[in-house]
Amino acid sequence: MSIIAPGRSLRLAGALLLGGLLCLAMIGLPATAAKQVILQVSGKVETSNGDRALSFDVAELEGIGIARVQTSTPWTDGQPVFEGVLISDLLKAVGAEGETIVAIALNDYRVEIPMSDFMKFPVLLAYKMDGERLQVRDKGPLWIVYPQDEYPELKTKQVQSRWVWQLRELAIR
Amino acid sequence: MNTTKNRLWTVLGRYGLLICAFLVFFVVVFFAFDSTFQQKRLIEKESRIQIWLLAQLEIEYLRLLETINLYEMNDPDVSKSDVDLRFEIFWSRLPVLMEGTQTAPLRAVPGFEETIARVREEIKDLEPLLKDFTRGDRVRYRQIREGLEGWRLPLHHIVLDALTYESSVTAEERRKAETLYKQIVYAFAATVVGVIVLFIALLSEMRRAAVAEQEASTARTQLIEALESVSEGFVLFDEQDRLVLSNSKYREFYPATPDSARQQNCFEELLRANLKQGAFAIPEAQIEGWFECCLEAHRSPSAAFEVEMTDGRWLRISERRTNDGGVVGVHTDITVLKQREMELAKKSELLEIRLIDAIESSSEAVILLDTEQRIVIANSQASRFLSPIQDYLHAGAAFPDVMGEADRLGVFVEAPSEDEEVEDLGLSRLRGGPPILEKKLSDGRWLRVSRSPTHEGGEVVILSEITQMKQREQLLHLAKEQAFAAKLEAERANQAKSEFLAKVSHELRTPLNAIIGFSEMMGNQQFGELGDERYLGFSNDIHFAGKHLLEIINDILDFSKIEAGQVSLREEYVDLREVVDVSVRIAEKQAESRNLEFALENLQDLPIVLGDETKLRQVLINILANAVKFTPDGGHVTVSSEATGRGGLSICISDSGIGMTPEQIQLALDPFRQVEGDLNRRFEGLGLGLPITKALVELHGGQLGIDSEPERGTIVTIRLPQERLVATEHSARA
Repeated sequence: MSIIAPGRSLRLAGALLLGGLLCLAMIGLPATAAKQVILQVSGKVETSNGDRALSFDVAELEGIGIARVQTSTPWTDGQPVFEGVLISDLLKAVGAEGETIVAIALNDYRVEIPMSDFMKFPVLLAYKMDGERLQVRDKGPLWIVYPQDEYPELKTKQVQSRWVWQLRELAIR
Repeated sequence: MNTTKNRLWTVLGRYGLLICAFLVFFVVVFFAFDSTFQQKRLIEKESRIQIWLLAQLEIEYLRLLETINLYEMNDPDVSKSDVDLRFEIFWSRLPVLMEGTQTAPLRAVPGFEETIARVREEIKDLEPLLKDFTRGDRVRYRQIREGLEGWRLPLHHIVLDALTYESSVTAEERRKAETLYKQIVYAFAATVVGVIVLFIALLSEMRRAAVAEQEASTARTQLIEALESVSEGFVLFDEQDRLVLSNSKYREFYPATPDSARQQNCFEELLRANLKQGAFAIPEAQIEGWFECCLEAHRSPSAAFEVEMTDGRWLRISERRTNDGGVVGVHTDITVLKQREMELAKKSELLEIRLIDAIESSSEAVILLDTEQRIVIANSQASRFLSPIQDYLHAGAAFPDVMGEADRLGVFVEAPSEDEEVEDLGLSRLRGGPPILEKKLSDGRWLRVSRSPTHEGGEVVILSEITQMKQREQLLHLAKEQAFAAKLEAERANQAKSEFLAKVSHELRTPLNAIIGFSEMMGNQQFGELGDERYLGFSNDIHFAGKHLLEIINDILDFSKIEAGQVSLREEYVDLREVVDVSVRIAEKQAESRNLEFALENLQDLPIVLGDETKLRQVLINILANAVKFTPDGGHVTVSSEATGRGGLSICISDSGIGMTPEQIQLALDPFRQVEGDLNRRFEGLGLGLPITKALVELHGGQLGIDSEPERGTIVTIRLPQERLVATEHSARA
């Protein structure tokens, strides 16, 4: 269902480690520690092991590159600082080749996002807000954050619908 | 096709701004229309999102409740982490509703915030319970269920309330949107109508422009045709001095002119080209100067000028500025005119020479004046006549000034005004006819001055010398005066004589009457016998002689009266036939013993005459008496009448007498004379008969005519004028 089996995650993590995320191993993460997977990337991606999906935990996402965006959101007060990985970096890291991305939330909410959004804007896949890890109750573990203060043209209803919270999976088409 | 396209562009250019404005407006309206439509959809969509967010709260609540129940009922598919996840998800739904702009409208729903705040408070209490909750832990399960169940109704109610609220707000929004939508539709429709109207206006404008262009082109064609049909060369330059139009005649004159005006040659260029081709017959040396002159004349056109062409033609070039600053040139071929002009000049030159010769050969002084009284020409004779002022007699001098100078120098002597004509020039001119006056020069010569107008309004003054004529005239005048005086004298003497005679005759008659009366009484022996027979004879002689003397005295008296103008006619209506008959009877009586034959011819229609019967009878008796007297025995006397040419009447008494020569006739008509010769002695008398007769006829306005031939006879004719005739006897009786 919506929760992925730990065994499978493990295998996936192992494959990832073997497949080139050497840096994660270098920083000395215990390879045997249970991996808290928060994201799966599926679809047209380059996978070294032939699987159809990649799984990431927070550390792995942090390994791709940490980015911060301070912006207001339609669902919060004030201008919180979000920390996470740029989706464009992530897509590059996984060698994604597609036109659209389907973002799928924990409650199976789905939205199609054109790939161009991530090319044009520094759209963030946030896992921290105001320095706090995003819990499920805080729309975590991952939240797609558009820098709408920096780019006012993003303040549209259409773009708002792409602020997917409680993100579980990115399916690349 | 091409012109249509061009016209379209012209129209688009002229109305481009308007069309753009319309297009922009059209696009704006379209986008407004579109965005309104979008907004309308968005309003509904947003409203759905908000409601969905709220609805999800209830859904997640129910899912949580269900997951907990399944977990408690040992469902193998549901683990504790599922319960936690559901809990977390439910929790995550709460702050969303309380924060941010997305859910702000929901918070306006009454009771919404309180409910959510309550749930948020209570969920914190539930968290430790759920954390420690495991399968089979009934106590906690019940506590959790109680807590959760407590939210069921409030959550359901706020969803329902929000739904109701939202729908009313949305409805309001939708209504507003729809109103806006309608307004935009109307605006759109108005725009469409405007565009259509604009389009129609543009079309009609285009058609008008097309018609105008057509008319302009027709007018131009007609103009060109008209220009081609004139015999003059025509050319038009625009304000930049470029050739616009020229007709073929012009191009014929100037071969260097291009056929079409499209090349836009300027005047200077054309002129230079024509000069280079040698179109003008201008000497090489003068070309530059002439060129400059031409340019100047073209720049400020005034009078026309003439130019000779190489081909012998003469052109008159007349240029004028047009209203728009261009120049119109008309080039007329005046070769024929020019030739005629030159011939005429030659002729008139010849004529002038001849005229001068003629004037010079005249013995009279001739001065020709123009319309302004200036001297055109004066011959040398004029200088001779007016030698003191000859220096002034040159062409161009004002004639009145010259005359004034003449007066000042005393050329003319003021002659005593013996003739009306010798007066002021103006006066004589007023009387009509050629003004002629005579002037005496200071040297004693006389000049006649005649002035006659010329056709062109000038004058010819002719001075001729009339000194000799003047002298003759004066002599004649003197003689006339003398003759007149003599005549008056003679007339006076004659009258005195007549008066004297009349008086004498009268005085003589009185004693004569005594002599006649008494001698008659004695002859009749009224108072007894005279005794001796011879006394009777004497007394008869005395009586006869006295009567004869009385007759003579009567004649003298009559003639004297007539001469003295003392005779007047006692006019009455006279039957001429009766007068003739009486006179003829008297004559027959006189000729009783003479064996004379009397004949009357053509006397039936003698008219009634207004006259003096006694005197008329006297006339006839006198004439008949003469006829009887001078006709020898056995002769004949004829009385006849005939009508004269002018409606008058003539009575002729002809005889076969001794007749007279013309000289004798003249003598017979003179008083107191008698024809010389035998007659004088044979027929005594004073010779007053014929003169008296003549005078009496003339008193009646008639004439007495005598035609005679010696030895053949005499015809005496009495002519009476028409005025004397009243009617013929015939018509008088009728």
